[in-house]
Amino acid sequence: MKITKVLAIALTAMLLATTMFGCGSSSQSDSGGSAGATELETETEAEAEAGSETTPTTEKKSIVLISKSYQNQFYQAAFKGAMDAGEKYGFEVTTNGPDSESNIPQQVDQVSAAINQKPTAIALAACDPESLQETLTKAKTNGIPVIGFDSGVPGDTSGAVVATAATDNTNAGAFVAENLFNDPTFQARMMEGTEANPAILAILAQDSTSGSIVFRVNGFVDKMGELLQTLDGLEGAVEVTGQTIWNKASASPAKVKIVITVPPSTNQADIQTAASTMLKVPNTVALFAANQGAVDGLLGATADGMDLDRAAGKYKDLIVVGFDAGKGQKEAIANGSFFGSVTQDPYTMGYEAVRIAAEIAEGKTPADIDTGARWYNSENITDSEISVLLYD
Amino acid sequence: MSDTNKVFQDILQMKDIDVMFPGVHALNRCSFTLRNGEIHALVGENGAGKSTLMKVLTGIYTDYEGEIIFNNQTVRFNSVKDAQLKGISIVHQELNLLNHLTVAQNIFIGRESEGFFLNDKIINEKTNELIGQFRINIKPTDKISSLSVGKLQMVEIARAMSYPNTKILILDEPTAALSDKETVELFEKIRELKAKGIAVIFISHRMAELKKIADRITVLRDGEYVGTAEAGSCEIPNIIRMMVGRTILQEPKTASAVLPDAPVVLEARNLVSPVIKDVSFQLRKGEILGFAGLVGAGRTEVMRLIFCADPKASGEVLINGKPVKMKLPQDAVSNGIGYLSEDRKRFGLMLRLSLLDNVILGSIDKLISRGLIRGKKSQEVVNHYISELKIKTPSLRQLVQFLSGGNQQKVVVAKWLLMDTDILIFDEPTRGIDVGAKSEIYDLMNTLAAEGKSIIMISSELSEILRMSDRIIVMSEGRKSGELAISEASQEKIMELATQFIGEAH
Amino acid sequence: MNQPSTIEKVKSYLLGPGLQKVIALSALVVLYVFFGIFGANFFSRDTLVSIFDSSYYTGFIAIGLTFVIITSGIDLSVGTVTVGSALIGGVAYNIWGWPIGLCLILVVLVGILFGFFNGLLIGKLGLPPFIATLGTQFMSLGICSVVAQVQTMRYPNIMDDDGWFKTVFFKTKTGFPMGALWLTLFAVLAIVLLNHTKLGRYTFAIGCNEEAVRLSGIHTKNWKILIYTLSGFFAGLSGIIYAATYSAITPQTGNGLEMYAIAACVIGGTSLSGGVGSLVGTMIGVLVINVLKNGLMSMSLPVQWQQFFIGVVVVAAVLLDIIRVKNAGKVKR
Repeated sequence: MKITKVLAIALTAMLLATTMFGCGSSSQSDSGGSAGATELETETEAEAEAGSETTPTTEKKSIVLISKSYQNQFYQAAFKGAMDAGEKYGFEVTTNGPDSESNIPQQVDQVSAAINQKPTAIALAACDPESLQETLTKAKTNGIPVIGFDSGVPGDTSGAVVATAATDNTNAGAFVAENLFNDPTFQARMMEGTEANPAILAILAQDSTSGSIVFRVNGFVDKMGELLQTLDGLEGAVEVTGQTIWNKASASPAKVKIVITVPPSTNQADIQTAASTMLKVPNTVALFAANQGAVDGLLGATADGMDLDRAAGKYKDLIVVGFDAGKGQKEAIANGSFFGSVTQDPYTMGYEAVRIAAEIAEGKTPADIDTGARWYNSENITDSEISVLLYD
Repeated sequence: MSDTNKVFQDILQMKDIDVMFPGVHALNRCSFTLRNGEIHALVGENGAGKSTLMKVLTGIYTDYEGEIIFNNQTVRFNSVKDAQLKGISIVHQELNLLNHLTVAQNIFIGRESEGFFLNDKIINEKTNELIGQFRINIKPTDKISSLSVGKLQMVEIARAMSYPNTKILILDEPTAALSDKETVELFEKIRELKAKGIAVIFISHRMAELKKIADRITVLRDGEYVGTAEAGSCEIPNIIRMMVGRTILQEPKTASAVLPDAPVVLEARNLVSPVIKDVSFQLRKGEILGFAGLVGAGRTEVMRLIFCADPKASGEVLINGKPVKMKLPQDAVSNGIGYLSEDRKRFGLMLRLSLLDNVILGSIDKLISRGLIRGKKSQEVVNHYISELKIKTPSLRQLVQFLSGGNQQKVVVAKWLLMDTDILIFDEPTRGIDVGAKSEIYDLMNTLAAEGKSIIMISSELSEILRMSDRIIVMSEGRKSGELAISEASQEKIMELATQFIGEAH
Repeated sequence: MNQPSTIEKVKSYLLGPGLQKVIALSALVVLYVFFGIFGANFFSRDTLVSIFDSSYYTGFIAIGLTFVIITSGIDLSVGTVTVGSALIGGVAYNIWGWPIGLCLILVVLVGILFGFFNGLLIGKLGLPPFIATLGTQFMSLGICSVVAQVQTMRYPNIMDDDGWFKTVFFKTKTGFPMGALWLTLFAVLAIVLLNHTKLGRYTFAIGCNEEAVRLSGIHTKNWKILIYTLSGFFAGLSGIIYAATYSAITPQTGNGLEMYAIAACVIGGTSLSGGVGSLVGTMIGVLVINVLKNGLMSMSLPVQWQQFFIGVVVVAAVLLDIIRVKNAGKVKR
C-alpha cells in the first residue's frame, strides 16, 4: 500500500510539473506559465455565466488551431503567424494536431475536445472533412465559428465553417504546370513521346484525401493536360493514370502519360520508397512532388538531392518541380537541381486565421482569403519578397 | 484365517513391462504386484524406472510391451483420464494445482458440469463431503495460494479420491516438502485410506519412513525388478544393497572432527528479519555445522540473510573475527562465502547451458584476458574439477539438464570451489539424489572439511544430520532453539528442540 | 469458527482481490479532478460525452484482451485487426456494393478469422503469443490495406440512407449513447462468460498453470484457440463501433490502439503474469485511459504528450502489478 501511495503521488507530481511546463510553451501569453491556466479558467467561468454564446469583446479571446499534423514544419510556420496575430489582436492562441495526417480519428477527437474548451473560434485544416461533419455540427450548435486554413474544410455541409484563409490550390497547381510547361527542354522531350514509348510525367502526391492535395493535383493535371495537347502531335494523346480519382483516358493511343503515385501512408519511409520506385520508371521526363512531404521523400530517395545534380547526378536529366519550401527544397532550388517550385504562404494563413477570428468577434462578417502562391527558382530565391515566404 | 493360509488378493499385476526410449531401455521386462488394500513402497535409485513404471500404469505412457491386470481384468489405458476413471490416480511430486482458484475448483477442474455453464455450489458441496471424509482442515472456498504445502498435499489426495472408482492411489515422493509433523499427519491419512480398502503405492527416497508406513517394499534397479520384502521384517541396509548392489555405511558420526584450537571463521550475531527472531551462532574452521529443524523453521532464511540474498533488519556478521559490511551477494562471495541453494535447478544451475559454462559462471573475471574468455584455460580448470569431484559426464560440453541430480549438485559445488569460497553453505544438498550419489556427496563434503573449508549443512533428514555434522544447531519457528555436540546428539533430542516453540502464540 | 460479518467481508474483499479496482477508481477520481482544475472547461457535460464517445471501441478491444491476458498471453494484433476488419467491411460496402448489414457481419467474421489464426499459431503450434500476435499485427495491417487498395473507406454518415448504422451503433440523433449500451451489453455477457462458464474457468486455470490443466485431461490447446478467437471476435465488434464513431477508415492505421486496451486491462487489475483478472476492473481502466486522453487534450498539450503519458501509465500499471504479485507470493508456512 505504501509503495502504491508513493507511485500515485509521483505520477500526480509529474502531471503537475507538466502543467507548468506545458501551459507555458503551447499558449501565447505575456505572463506565461500557470497564469495561462487561470486565464482560461476565468474565461470559461464568464462564458458559463453568459451561457455558451460567443464571448463579448471585453473578455480575453481564444482560438485553437488544429493542423493536419502537428510536427510538420509547414504548420509550425502557420502557428507562428497565428501567434503574432494573437499578440496584435489580443487572442490566446493554442495549437494542436494529430501525430500523423492519416490519424483521422485523433483529429476528430482533438476538434471535439477543442469545442469542449469553448474558445472564441477554432481554425482547422481538416485531414478528412467528411469524418468531421458531425463534430463541426457540434461546433455550430455551440456557437463556435470555424475558420479553415491551409486546405481548410472543403465540402463542409455543417455550416460551421465561416471563412477560409488558404491557397487556392487549384490555381496553385495550375501555376506549377504553367511554369513547368514554359521550359523548352520539357516541351521538346514531351513531343518525343510515341505510342510505343510514351513520355512520362510523374506526380508524387502524399495522399488522395486531403483537400489541398486533391485540388492542387487536379489543377496541375487539368492545366498540364490542356497545355500539352497544344503541342504538335499530342492532341488527344495525353492519358492520366495511377489513382482512380484522377484517371483520364486519352482519345487516341497515348504518347504522353501523366502518372500519379500515392504512397501507402504519409510517413517519410513510405514516401521515400514510393519515390524510389517512381524514379526507376523509364522515360520519365519530369516529376512533380506535390507538397513538402513528397519533396522530402524525393530528396531522400535521391541521396539528399545529389542524384539530381545537373552535371553529374544519376538523374541529371530529370526535370523536377516541387511545392512548398523547407530546408532541403530550398537548397535544391538554389543549386538548380530543382527546376523550380511554388510556395504557399503558411505564415499568412495562420495570421489571417486569427485576424478573421478578430473580425468575427467584432461582429463583422468575414470573407475568404486567398493567401496566394509564388513561383521560385534558382534565379529569384534570394529576392527578399520570395525568401520571406520560404520557411525552413 | 490362519497365518499359514493367508490368501492375498492381488488387485494389480504388472507383467514384463518393457519400455524403450531412444538410447535408453527404461523398463526391462519389469514386474510389480500390488495386493488389495496394502501400502506398498516402491524404491530405487534415480533412473531405476519407478516413475516410468508409474507413468505406464497411469496412462501417461501408452507405448509399452507387457500386460497389466487390474481387478482381474487385462487393461490397457489410453490416457490419464482413462486410468483415473477406471480407478488409478496419482499425486505427482510437483503438485499440479492452480494457484488463483479455490480448493473445490481445483479438485473438480475438468469435471465441472455437462454443459457450458458452471455452478460452483455443486462442486463446493461435493468438496465438503470429501473434506469431511478425510477430516482435512480446509474449506472448499479457500484459495490455493493461501494454503501451506501440507494442506496442498491433502487437496491433491482429496482430488484423487474424488473419483469414486479409485482403488489404487500412487503417491510420488509425498513427504519431500513436508515437515516431520506434516508427514505424520499424511501417514495417518494413508492408513485411513487403507482401512477403506484403497491400495497405496508409495514412492520415496526416505528409507526410515518406509518401515513406518509400508506393508511391503519393492526395489527396482536399472529398469528391472529386483525384489520385494515385507517391510516389517526387512533391514534397511539390505534394501539399500538391493537398490545399489552394494552396502552403504549408514552410521552416525560419534565425535567431532574439528581441531580443538580451530578459529571461528564465521559468526552471526543477533540476526533479525521479518521471519528470523534474533539468531546467533558460530562456525569454526574445518567444521561441518548441521542445521536441523522442521520445514519452515527458518534455516534457509538465516543463510539467505548471511549471504545477503535477502535484506536483514538488524544484526551483524563477522568473518574471521572482524565485522563485515555486506549488502549484496557479491559482497558475501568476495568474503569467501558460497551458498548452494535448496532448489538447485532453479537457483544453482543454468540448465540449458553446458557443464563448462555453469562451472565458470561465477569466476569469469578470473578467466578473462584482454576482454575475452580464455577457452583453453577454462577447459583445463573445469576438467580438473570433473576429475576431482568425480563428475560423471560424457563431456564438459554436456548440457547440465541431462546430468543426474547427484552430478548436477557436484557441478554446483565445483562452481563455488572455483570461486575460492572457504565457507560453503549447503542447503538440502542431497534432496532428489539417489543413495549412491548421496554417499559421494557426503565423501566430498568430508574431504572439503578435512582440507580446511568450513561447511554449514541444512538438512531435513535426521540421519543425514547425524551422519555428517560435527555440531548441530536446531532451529524452530525462526529462532535458534538449541545447539548439540555430535557426541550428545540423538534423533529424539533434535526433534525435541525442533518442536520447541510450535503452538506458542505469536 | 464464526462467520465473518458483512462489513468484514467487504473489507477483506476491498483489501484483497478488490484492491486493484479500488486503486483504479481512485486514480480515475484523482485524474478527473486534476484535469478539472488544470484543464479548460473539463467539468462539463460535453467533455463527459467526449470521454465516453472515444472509449467504446477501446472497451470492446479490452474485453477480449482481458481473457487473453488472464491466460498469461497477449494479443498485440487487436488494434490493427479492429481497423483492418472495419476497412474490409468498408470495401464490401463501397466497392462490392453489399448491404450494410452484411458488411457488418463481414467485419466480425474478419475479426474472428484473425483471432482464429492467432489461436492456431499460439495454441496449436505453440508460438509465443508476443511474437505470433506481433506477426499477425503486421499481416492484418498489410493485407487489409491491400484489399482496400490502400484507399480510405467510408461508412455511412447520419445523413445518408444507411445512416441508421451510426444511430444504432454509436449515438442516436437525440444524443443517446448507443455505443455505451452495446458495450455494457457485451461486457455483461463477457462477465457471465468469464465467471460462470467452462470457458471462463479454464481461462483462469490456464493462466495459473497450463501444464497442470493439461494433465487434468483438459484440451488446453483447443481452449486457447477458442480464447484467441474470442479476442479476434471482440476486435471485430470493436471495428464496427470504431467505424460508427469515426466513419472514415484509413488503411495502415490502428497500430497502437492495442496499447490503450492493454493499459486499461492492467490498470483494472488483470495481471500480465496470468490467473488474475476482472472485467469490471478493465472497464474502470478504460475510463481511466480516456479521462487521461481527453484531459491532456483539454490542457492543450501537443498530442505527443498523450503518447508519453500513456506510456507512463502503462509502465506504472505494470510496476504496480509486479509489486502486487510479489506481495501475494510471500509464502505462507
